[in-house]
Amino acid sequence: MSEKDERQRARTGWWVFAGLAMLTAAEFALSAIVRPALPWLILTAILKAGLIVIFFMHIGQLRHQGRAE
Amino acid sequence: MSSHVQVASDYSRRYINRLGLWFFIISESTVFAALLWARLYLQGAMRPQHLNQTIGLAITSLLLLSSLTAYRAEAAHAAGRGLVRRRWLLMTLGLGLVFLAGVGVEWREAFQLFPPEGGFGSIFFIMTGMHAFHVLTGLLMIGLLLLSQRRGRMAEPEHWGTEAVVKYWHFIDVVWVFFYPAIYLIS
Repeated sequence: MSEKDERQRARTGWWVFAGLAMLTAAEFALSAIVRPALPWLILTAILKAGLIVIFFMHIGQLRHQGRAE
Repeated sequence: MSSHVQVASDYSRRYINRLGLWFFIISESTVFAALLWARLYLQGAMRPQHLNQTIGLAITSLLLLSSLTAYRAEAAHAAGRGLVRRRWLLMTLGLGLVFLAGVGVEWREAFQLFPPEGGFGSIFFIMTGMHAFHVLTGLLMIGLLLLSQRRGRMAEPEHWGTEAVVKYWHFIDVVWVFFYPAIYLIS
């Protein structure tokens, strides 16, 4: 991986973190405003977990066996 | 010829490593899913009014931030930048330690407000305790990575250790993504 690729990954990381922070703020607000909040809390948790698993944990790597990274 | 065989062998080995780690993560997830289910089954949407929401939100933000620093450490490692990787790993370690300190503060309050003998207290302590134990093991592994780097090991970008530890750290974060609303927000 080149330094350019690393910078690209850094940008991706910040975008994902921003998304996670916004979803956390949203779930905090939803829990105070919406009744019942459970379905919304489940939805935001799934979205947050999805962001982490896809972008931070690179689950897509499992599909690229044998390809150059 | 032999170098081609070596490259193919490295890729399949890396693939098997990843697959094994994902199986491990899935098996660990079942434990946390059982705890999550127990919380909802035993307590429903009930939660004590005096739960410390400030600490809950603060430690959640810290853990999310630590996922970003761990991700940056992995990217630096892949780019062969050992010193940068070390800096990000140290930040991850620091954030993890502050997270554990936050859990400690929360526990001190919780022992007085809803002790482990009670319904919510028992599930609160088992959920946060189990998660904190995993954070601790993650921190130990990050510490081992840093020690290995000091001894000159794990310098090559192909080395599996950093990727494995960082993935485990993200998994700990995913668990908290579900635990945080279940403990602090459902009502």
